[in-house]
Formats: sequence, structure tokens, C-alpha cells
Amino acid sequence: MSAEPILRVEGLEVAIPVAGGRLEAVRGIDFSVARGETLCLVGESGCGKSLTSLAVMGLLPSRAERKARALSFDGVDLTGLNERGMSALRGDRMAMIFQEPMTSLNPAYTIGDQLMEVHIRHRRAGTVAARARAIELLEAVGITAAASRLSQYPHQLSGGLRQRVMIAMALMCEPDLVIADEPTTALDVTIQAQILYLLRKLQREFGMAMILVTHDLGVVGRVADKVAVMYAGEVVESGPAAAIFAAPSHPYTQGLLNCIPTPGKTPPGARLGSIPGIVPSLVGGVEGCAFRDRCPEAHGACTAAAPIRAVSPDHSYRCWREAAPAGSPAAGPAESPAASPASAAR
Amino acid sequence: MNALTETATARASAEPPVLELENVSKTYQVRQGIFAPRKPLRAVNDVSLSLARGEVLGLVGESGCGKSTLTRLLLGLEAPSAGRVLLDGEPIAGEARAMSRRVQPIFQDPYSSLNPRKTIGSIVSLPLRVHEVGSPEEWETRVAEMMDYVGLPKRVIGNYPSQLSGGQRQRVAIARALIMRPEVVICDEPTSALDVSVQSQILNLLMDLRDELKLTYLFVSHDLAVVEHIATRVAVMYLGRIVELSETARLFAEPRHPYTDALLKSVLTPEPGLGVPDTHLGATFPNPIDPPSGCAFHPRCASATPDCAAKRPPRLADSAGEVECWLHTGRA
Repeated sequence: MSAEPILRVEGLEVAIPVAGGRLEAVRGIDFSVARGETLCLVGESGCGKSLTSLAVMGLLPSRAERKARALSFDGVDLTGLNERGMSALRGDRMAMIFQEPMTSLNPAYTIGDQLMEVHIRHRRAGTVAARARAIELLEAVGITAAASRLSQYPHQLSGGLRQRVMIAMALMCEPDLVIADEPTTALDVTIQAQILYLLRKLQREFGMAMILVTHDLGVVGRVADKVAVMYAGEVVESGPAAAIFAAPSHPYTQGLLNCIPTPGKTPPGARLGSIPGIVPSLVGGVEGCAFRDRCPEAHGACTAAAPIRAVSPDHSYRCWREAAPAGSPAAGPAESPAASPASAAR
Repeated sequence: MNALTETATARASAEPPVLELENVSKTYQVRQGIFAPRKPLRAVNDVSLSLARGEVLGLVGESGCGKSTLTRLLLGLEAPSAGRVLLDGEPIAGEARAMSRRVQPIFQDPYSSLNPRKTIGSIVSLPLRVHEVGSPEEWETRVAEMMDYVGLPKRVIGNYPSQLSGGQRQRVAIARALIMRPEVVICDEPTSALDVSVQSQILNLLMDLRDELKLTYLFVSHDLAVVEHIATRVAVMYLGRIVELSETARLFAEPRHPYTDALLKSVLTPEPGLGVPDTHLGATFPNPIDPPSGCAFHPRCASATPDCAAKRPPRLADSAGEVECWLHTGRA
């Protein structure tokens, strides 16, 4: 998609002072997302993907330090905005959907009060208009008998319904950007498929940009237009989803894809790939490539920061290893690095 | 792998199942409000299920379908309201202690299933001490041996759970489950709290241990890709009933129950371009206190007919497995 990005992030850093130094949780990452586009931030626990989304929303804990070369939303420089300016945008033009709807909904207010508040606050709507809008949105997210749900409290709803309420709340003011942090992780596969189907459908209708934070590569494969794979606070590989799944180029991305059984590709009962070792501590920062301790191909040069290499103009990865033989970035040589470790493991 | 499946099936026909549920029901009396009268909730409703020695039986279904109650019945932690639980063909009645020597659990969350104030050595050796097996010296050798099996370094023996990573904690839970040399291990979502790269290590470990120690697994998971990978047979549960049971390959290739079909459609595999499927299931899982009449799945089923609401379909058992659906058993 060539549209002007609605969100542009360059050199984003987040550090948290902890006992023993500074925890450099996000270490200079770049990404952008355009209207109608879905970017997936992928990575394991502690890679900084949630802090990245909080940093964009201006919701970091107060002791965390945020720095960025550029952090602009629809031409507005977010680094220069004070809390008042941020909170005018938040919930109106940019909204967030959290993982755990039970802790992010207020248990003491009805669903209706919480939904209507967004509209009343940002649009100065009257109660009647806000109520109509709330019912409209609850119906849009597939909740039946929406009018009667408005007087219910969060604890009276099932997990799937609560997550739908969270989505409805995020969409109350037709935001330009939605950030969803693991929106379906706590849910059943059937509900997960329904919620993601719904998000994609609403995204098309409203033309929103969406950032989906997840660790589930199945979700990424089905939802993402663009993917940014994060490891230890850095983006180690980024590009169009199809290219990343067809030709994963960073050893970490390749390792992750080998860890999950893929029906039709992984023979039943065969050994799955794994990534030995653990994520390095980010207190005091990391010298060189952060993945080198777990990388099967690490060598001497990896103690220095790895360069960014391009597979194609929009697909790049951060590694000392040369790209697969030049020429065809997606088809030919792409198959071999993904397939060979699996067959070797058998 | 195919050979393994065949031997498991062959053995199943030769000797009695190692663990079996015979028409088991579990009913809880629950209240929906402070002054509301108690109502029966049939968490497990007339289920017959057997575990053949050496097999990996996958159990799948949505939250609230009764999976956890079923595992608690198999572990002897709950007594059935009706029916019998058989171990090696012998009914067990209130013998939870004897049963726990032979059937052991591995739980989902290694952060809450390990006592934070005990050392790893003490956690792993607890079953030996409870059952008073062997001497303290013997405990030590067996703990060391078991930690070796599950790939834990010896140096963590004096550590506390908080000092270990999620994957290491789950290895501790596995070591604790296996130290009594059980025959059956009930794995309740053993990898869903773990990161992808750790999850594959634990799955590989479980498969290795099964071969080395001749274990039988009941593998409860919501991740159908993992179930397809690890299980030899799969049981699909809906609202307290097993609605379909079949060999893994057949179940995934030709699901017979519309619910199984919908579950399989919901699985998101990393295949870009396929998009998110529309399962047409609707959001509402029925209230288990007031289950739908007839086939409990009929309000969500695309192929439902008026007959489905009237009468519960009988269980059809044939060479392809078992299924409870009017589409396959003929009309009422």
C-alpha cells in the first residue's frame, strides 16, 4: 500500500530505570502504518512489543522514558504533545484494545455508561445520541439484544462478549488508528476467529489503520498486511506478510516458524524445531546482536551491532548473514532456509 | 508414526484400556443469585471414554464444555455422580491415593502450580514422600535421575520456582508428575502459558518421555494445530458430551460432526492470503444450566433441522470412530 502512513515511528526507544541500571526495553525501532493497513508486531514475552504500543498511545508508566526521532500521527508530532493533547486524541482518533477485558473495563459502571462516556467526552454528544451510537456499535460487533446489554455490568458478560464490548468501545468515535494488544489470546479458537473476522470487516468498513500485537504466528499469517518481528527490543525483520512467511530471512524468524506445527507440512509426531537458550537481560543494554547466544549461525562478527540488509525494497532484516542468493527474493531460494531445518530435525 | 498409531490401536483391542470412563456423569448444584434456588449443572453428561495404553488422546472443546471436570474425574479428584471410572478394568471407588500413583497431572500454568516457598528438589520429591516410597537417599537419586530426564540442570535443585524461566518451571512440573512412574499423564493445556519457542521444546520433551517411559497421555488443549501434531486419537467435547471421537488424521481430514467442522475452520494457520474464516457459529455458547433441548449444538448448527431440537442423537460407533449427530445416524 503506497498511501501516506497515518502513523510514522522512527528510532523509538523506551527505557525503564530499575535496580541495577536502565532496562532498555525498546531500542530504536522504526515502523509505519497506513489507512486500511494491518501491521502485526510479533515476538515473545519481553521483546518490547506491548511497551511499543503503549509508547505510541502515550500510556507508558510515568517512570519509563520515551525517546524518538519521529513519532507522528497524521502529521501531528506526538512527542511534542502534553497529556492534555494526547488524551484528546486517545479514544477519539487513536484507540486501544487490551488483552484482558475484565481488567480494562470498570466493574462499577455498566457497559452502557462506559461506551457512552467515550462519545459524550470526545464528541460532546447528548445522552440520547451517545446511547444510539452505543447500540449501533454493539450491533456492529455482533452482540444481540444490544439495547438490553447497556444496563449490564462487565461481570455479567462472557469473555467473548466483554472483548466485543472493548472493540465496540474502541470504535465509538471511528478512530483512524486502532492498536490491539493480544486481543484474542485469552479466548477460545472459535471466538478468536470470530473476533478477528469482525476486526477485519470493521477495518474495511471504517478504513482504519490497525496495529495488532501478538505472539501467535497463525493469527499473523491470516490478518497481517505487514509484519515486524521483534526480539529483545529491536525489530529484527520487517516486510510484507507474504514475503516474511515465504522467505523468512532472520535466524530468529526462521526459528519461530519452525517451532509451530503447520498442518500439511509438519509430519505428525515429528520433532518440532526449537530455539535453545533464553532472552538476554536488557538491563544496561546489549552489545552487538542480541540474538547471537541463541543463534545457530553466530560467529565472531556478531558481537558488533548487525547491519540491516534488504531482501527486497520493503523486506529487510538485521543480521550479519548475507541475504539468500540475489535475484528472486520470494520464490526460489526462499523455500530452502525454511524447509531444511525441519527436515534435518526429522 | 503410522506404525505407532497402529500398534496403539492393536494393543487397544488386545488388552483392557488403562483408564476408562463408563457412562460417567458429574452434576454440580449451582446458584445463579443469592436467593435463587440451586439448579443442577451437568458438567459431564453420560460420557464413556477409554484410554488405550500408549496412546495420546487429544481432548478439545471450548471453555465451559466440561474438559476440566472430565480431567478431574480421570485423576480421581472428583467422584462421579453416576457411572464408573475404571483403572485397568477395575473400578476405583474413593481410592484417590492409590490412583495418584498411577495417574498424574501436568497443569497449564507453571507459575501457579508450583509452591513458591519450596525448593525444586523438594517439589519434585514430594510425591515420593507423600506415598512413602523408598528412603531419603533413594529420593535423592530418583530426583536427580528425573531432572536428567526432563532436561533440568542439577544446579537448580536448591533453587526456588521464581528463579526459573517458564519453560524450566514446566519441566519441574513434568518431573514431579513422572517421579512416581505413573502410567497415565493427564496434560491440561501444558504449553498454552508458554512462549512459542519454549512450547515446542516442551512438546518434544513430552513425546520423548512417552517413548522412553511408555506413557499414556490425555492431552487437553485448545490449540488444534498442536493436538493434530501430538495426538493419535481426538475426542471433541461439547456441553458435557463427547460429540465426536476419531483417529487424528481422519478427524482432521473428514470431520463428521458440524461442531468439529466449525472448530477446525477456526484454526488459524500461518498461511498468508487465506484470511480469517467466517465460522457462522454465533457468539453465544449455551448456558450449561439450561442446555438446549435435543442435540445441544442445534442452536449454533448450520445444518440443524426441527428434529435436532426434539431429540438427542444416539451415539454412532463404527470403523471411523464415534459421532453423535442426526446427520450421520439417520432421522429420529
